[in-house]
Amino acid sequence: MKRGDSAGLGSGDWRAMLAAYPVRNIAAAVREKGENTVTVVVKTQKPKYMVPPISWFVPYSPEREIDLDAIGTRLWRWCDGQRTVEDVIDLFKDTYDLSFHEARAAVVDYLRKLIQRGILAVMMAPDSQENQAENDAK
Amino acid sequence: MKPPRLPRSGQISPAWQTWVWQGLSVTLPPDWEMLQFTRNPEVGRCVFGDRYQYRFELDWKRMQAPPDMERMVSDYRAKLSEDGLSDVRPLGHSPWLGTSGQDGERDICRYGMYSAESRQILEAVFLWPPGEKSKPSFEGRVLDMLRVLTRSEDGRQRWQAFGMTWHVPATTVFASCAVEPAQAEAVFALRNNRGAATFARRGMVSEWLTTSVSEWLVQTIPAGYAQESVTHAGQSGHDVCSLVARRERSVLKDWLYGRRQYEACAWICPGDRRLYCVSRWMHQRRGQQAAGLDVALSCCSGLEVLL
Repeated sequence: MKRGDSAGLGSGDWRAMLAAYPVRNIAAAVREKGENTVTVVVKTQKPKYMVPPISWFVPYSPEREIDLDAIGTRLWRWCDGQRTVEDVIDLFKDTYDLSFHEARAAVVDYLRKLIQRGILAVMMAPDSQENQAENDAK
Repeated sequence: MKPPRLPRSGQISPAWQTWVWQGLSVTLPPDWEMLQFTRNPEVGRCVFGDRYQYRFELDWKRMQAPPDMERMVSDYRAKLSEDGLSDVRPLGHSPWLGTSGQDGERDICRYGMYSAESRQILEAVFLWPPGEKSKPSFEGRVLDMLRVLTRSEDGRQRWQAFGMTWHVPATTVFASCAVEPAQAEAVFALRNNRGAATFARRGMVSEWLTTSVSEWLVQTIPAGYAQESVTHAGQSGHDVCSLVARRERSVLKDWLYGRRQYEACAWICPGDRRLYCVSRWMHQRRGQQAAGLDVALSCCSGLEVLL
């Protein structure tokens, strides 16, 4: 196993990733499911191919519900747009007594899944955006 | 980022962490973790990183005969210059021969040596953060603490990684290693496929362990085995649960093909609140002793569990 590779550490420097801010999709609705769990509801875009006769047979829902478990809910609540990925990792590490990279692998993997499902986005830190622009210019 | 604290001369700071992998022992700052590793004892590498980047790489390669290290390092230096590394300069920290260079804003220092003891070429690579100058005193300290470990008198090999210290017979093969968040597991097998031992450490116990450790241990019995006994013993503040199971087969089949036994021990270390488990299965042919697979797992200095 290459723990680094598995979590996208190929470049050997992950400062920009840690400095990014995970922000919630403001269009997503949150329903409290239990004491420690929530369901996040996001609107889905109707695919262009969803026209008759395909739409007669293929079901389409204008909303998608994503149930988060207790750990996922905790992570979701920490992603308030004020905390960086590094802050969230540190909170996760301290809460569950993990090492930094154990927490990093778990948090980054989970955030990636939330981003793929459209309930979370990542905002790059301003200085890392400038660095990126400088690199692009070079 | 604060620079790691250096231990005083002649003393290893308890805060620094020792890793032992493939017979190589390296002591590094506490926030450096192993992020990549190789199972191959002939050629491979381990890569360590702090929270922001890869910081240290240890490579090894077994050789048939001692190489001409000086020429090898000089050729390597020329190759690094060709590859675009700037400001390539020789470095030395006896018996290590080194080279430093700059890759963009980063200092990279490489040291190599031949260990006659293990017949290996070792390479230690220090990757410095952007804008930070390399520190020869820090590198020298790490190199001084890098050791090739000899096997113990009883032929066992020591490993130390991911919060565990374990001993296995040197004759075993490192079959697999899986490291996931809050879960690390290493498997060593006998060459003749007559037995295997597994060392595991699991975190976030309060999130998933809904039963007692003994009940959990019983659930880990492989399919086809029947539980024979479960016992508890208190050792240095740890409640160690031990289990023995035997493969369910007819007496005649056992007599003809031999028996298989499964043994396991599990406990939660009060120090880090993680669950540790060591297990092994062994094949015993009729009229023969069970294959030698004496293993040990330790979670902290207070406890070593032998199987």
